[in-house]
Amino acid sequence: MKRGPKNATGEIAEKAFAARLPRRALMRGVTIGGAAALLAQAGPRARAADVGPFPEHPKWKFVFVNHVTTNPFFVPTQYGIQDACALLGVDYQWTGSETSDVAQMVNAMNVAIAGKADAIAVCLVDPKGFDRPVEAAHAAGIPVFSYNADSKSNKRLAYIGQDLFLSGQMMGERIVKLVGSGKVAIFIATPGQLNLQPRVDGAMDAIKKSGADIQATMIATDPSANAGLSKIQAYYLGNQDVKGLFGVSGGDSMNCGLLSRQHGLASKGVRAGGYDLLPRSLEAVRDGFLDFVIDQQPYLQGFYTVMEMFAYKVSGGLIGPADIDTGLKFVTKDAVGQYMNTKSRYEGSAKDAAIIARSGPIGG
Amino acid sequence: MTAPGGVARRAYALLLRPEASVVVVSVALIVYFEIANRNFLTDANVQTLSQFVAAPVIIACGEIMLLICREIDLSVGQVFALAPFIMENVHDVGVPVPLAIVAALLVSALIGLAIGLITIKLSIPSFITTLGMLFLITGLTLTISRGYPANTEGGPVLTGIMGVWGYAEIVWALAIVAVMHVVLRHTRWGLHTTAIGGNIVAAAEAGIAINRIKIGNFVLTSTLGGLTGLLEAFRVGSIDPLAGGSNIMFLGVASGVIGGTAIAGGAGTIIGGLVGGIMLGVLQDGFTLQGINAFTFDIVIGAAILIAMIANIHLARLRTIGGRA
Amino acid sequence: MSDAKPEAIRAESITKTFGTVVALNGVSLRVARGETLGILGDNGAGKSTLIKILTGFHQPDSGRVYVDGRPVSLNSVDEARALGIECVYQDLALVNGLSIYHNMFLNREPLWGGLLRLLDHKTMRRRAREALAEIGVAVPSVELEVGQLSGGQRQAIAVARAVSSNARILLLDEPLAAMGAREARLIIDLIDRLKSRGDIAVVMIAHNYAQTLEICDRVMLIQHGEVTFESRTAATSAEELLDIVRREYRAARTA
Repeated sequence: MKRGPKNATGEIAEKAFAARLPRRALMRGVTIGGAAALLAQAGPRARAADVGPFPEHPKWKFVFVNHVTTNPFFVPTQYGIQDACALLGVDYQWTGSETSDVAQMVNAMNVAIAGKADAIAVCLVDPKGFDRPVEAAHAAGIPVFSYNADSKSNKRLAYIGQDLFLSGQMMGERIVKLVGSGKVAIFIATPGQLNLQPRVDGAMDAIKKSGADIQATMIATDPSANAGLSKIQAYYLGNQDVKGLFGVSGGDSMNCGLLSRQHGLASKGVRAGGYDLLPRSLEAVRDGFLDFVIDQQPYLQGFYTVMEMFAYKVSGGLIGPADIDTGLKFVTKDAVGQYMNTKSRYEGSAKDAAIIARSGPIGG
Repeated sequence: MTAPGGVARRAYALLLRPEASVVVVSVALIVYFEIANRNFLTDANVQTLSQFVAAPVIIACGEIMLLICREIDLSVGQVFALAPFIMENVHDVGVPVPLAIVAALLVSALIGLAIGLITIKLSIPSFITTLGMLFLITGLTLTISRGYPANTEGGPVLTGIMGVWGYAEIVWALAIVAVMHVVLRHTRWGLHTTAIGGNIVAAAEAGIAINRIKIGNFVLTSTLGGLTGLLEAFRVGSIDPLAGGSNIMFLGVASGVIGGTAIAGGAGTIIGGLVGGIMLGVLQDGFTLQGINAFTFDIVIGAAILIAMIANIHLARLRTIGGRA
Repeated sequence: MSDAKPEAIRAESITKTFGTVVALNGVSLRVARGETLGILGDNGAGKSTLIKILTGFHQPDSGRVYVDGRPVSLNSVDEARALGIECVYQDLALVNGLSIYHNMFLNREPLWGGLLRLLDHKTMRRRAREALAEIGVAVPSVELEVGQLSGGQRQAIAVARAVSSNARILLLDEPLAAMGAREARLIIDLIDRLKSRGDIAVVMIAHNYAQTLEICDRVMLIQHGEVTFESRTAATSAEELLDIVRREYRAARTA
């Protein structure tokens, strides 16, 4: 996990969200994360404050370049961005490509640079395609951060998102625990793209290192969920001795659950799981057709990125950059209830901001 | 025609040309965006704008020729994606990059030849032929690439010319527009293409080699599609199986139609394709610069295209009525 | 007067069958330079087929064609053109979206620029103007699109195109069809001027007996693929032609 010294703020903010600690505990350090949690705790009343504890600043424009701008997964991300922007008195633009078209995303970045954006965030879905635009942005004095997907060779200041390889490894370990031995398929919608491929690589890596007798194959599906379902179905029908079906993106994971439900695979001992909290995936977890889904907390990918951009701008580049791991959570049958019963802006299922009530001790 | 007041009449006639309305709209848009956002006419943005414009315009040059003779190529966006992979595969077996590029263009041309032969010899509407080709070539691209993106290779001069230099693509586009304009207006090929689209019976009776010209236009369009794909791949530095596709094909056809080429055939203008492409590029770049979000973006672009076309058609009507002998 | 003029085109015993339909059965004709021959007959009688054979579009199953007294085989439109045989079809074969001068030189465009092979617009415009002036057709400008002309003007352009490509044998397929009296007058005058040149042989397919008798020197009647009557127009009349047609018609009904 990549955690620099500055990342403590991220840690605090996340815990604050999860635990709803009383305000007093946070007042001790006026960290950005603390301020954020504080203000969020206070609810709608605090939003009226334009600037908060920060000096007056222009309404900076932060441009977010995304590879699937209309994908529902990123709806909570956009909410996170909106909330952070409202909090800090800055503005944002959501642009990019609808179809993972790298050239379109590069165009969007170039426009942002020409338009003198104050900061840019981009999903680095291609290992080298964004190198030159990022260099150009930095040459023009515009800080660039990556979120949701990262490329090690790229010169971006920091990455805010899930540690993809690590999450893949953790999924791989869980697969070993669930399946034990046999044939396993790991589906990927867009092979080679950096928001998904590292997860598969991590899973394969963990499976191999465990020494278990598992034959894991990577199968390409399709960026569109409908076409992806057909591919997964076709694979299963041709490989009915498979012991596990796993996806590394929301659509594929949902489809593994659908397939398992259609063919009653759980009772046949076929395990399944994947990523992201699409409603159908949660239903599948609740009903036992998916063993788990991994939450990458898309809200935080938007929220924290804006925070970092702001910190960079307000401090003249002296604060940051800091990689932020937006965490990885296995959502299993016992926890899924709360996710399903909650319509929340922070999960993307509702537009209105509202405090989600929680009580009792926090489970492990 | 050189009666007194002839200058004024010539100017009026110029305004009624199909390209004119698009030029007027484009200029209006540029003025609007520059006022709304001082960054529009900066060096950096003009370069970015040129990159928006170049690819659809090159595609348009081929599609316009096909539209004029009442054909179409729906698969050009897939050849766009395939060509760079052909180049990469050929290069991998040891062929130097320049020759690999030529190989990719040859394959593109062959695809066009196949489309032409199937359409003409088997009498299948080109819409259907190229629809089938669209899927076929998509699958071919995915198979060759195994779904994985790849990197472009080549020395600085070659890659610079092929798209890495910021203005490379627009220079290519302008050169191709210039050549194709001459072909359309000043060679037999272009004139006969128009004749075929205008009255195929008349063309046949005049002894024009209809099949040869149609097939030639298919070859041309596919080759230009492959070239555009190569340029875009070099510009980004990455070869992507998901690149191009129907999107670029529609942008190319739209550029042509907005610029004045009749979608039903019989008349067309290459310069119009350039101007149409500029208008679309200005719209996309300008609104992105403005900060329009992805969701509203499509609404705005769609509305803008409709408005431009309505203006076009109105002016075209005036032209027909006013020009009666 | 006619036999003294040199023969331009002669066809002997032309037969053509399409599948089971016998379109022409041993048809012969002869036209001299400066002479106009009118071919009359019902639809489906074989007139169009005969013209298409003379222009090289179809090849006869049997029979011979002679141009200037020499036997020729017209295997293609190009070959017929090369011999000076041009046809103006019913559909006029004009491209509406192209200008008058482009239409006049379609597929015969003069080029310049050596290897570049660029269209020589200036020369085409000049020669178009000259050709139109020569046969007395007036248009405001040769740059006008053909689609913007009236029916008579379009017909005139089509004829001018044939003449300007040095047609020595001009075949006109229903030139006056669907034309008002005034427009027809234009074309009739045009054909007169062509005649007075003395070097072009004109073969005209027509429906209107009165007009044909007025324009042509000789007239021929084709019915069911055969020539049933042939005469100099001065020696016959519309009534006589109609009689022959009625006779055939009655014979066909009682058969």
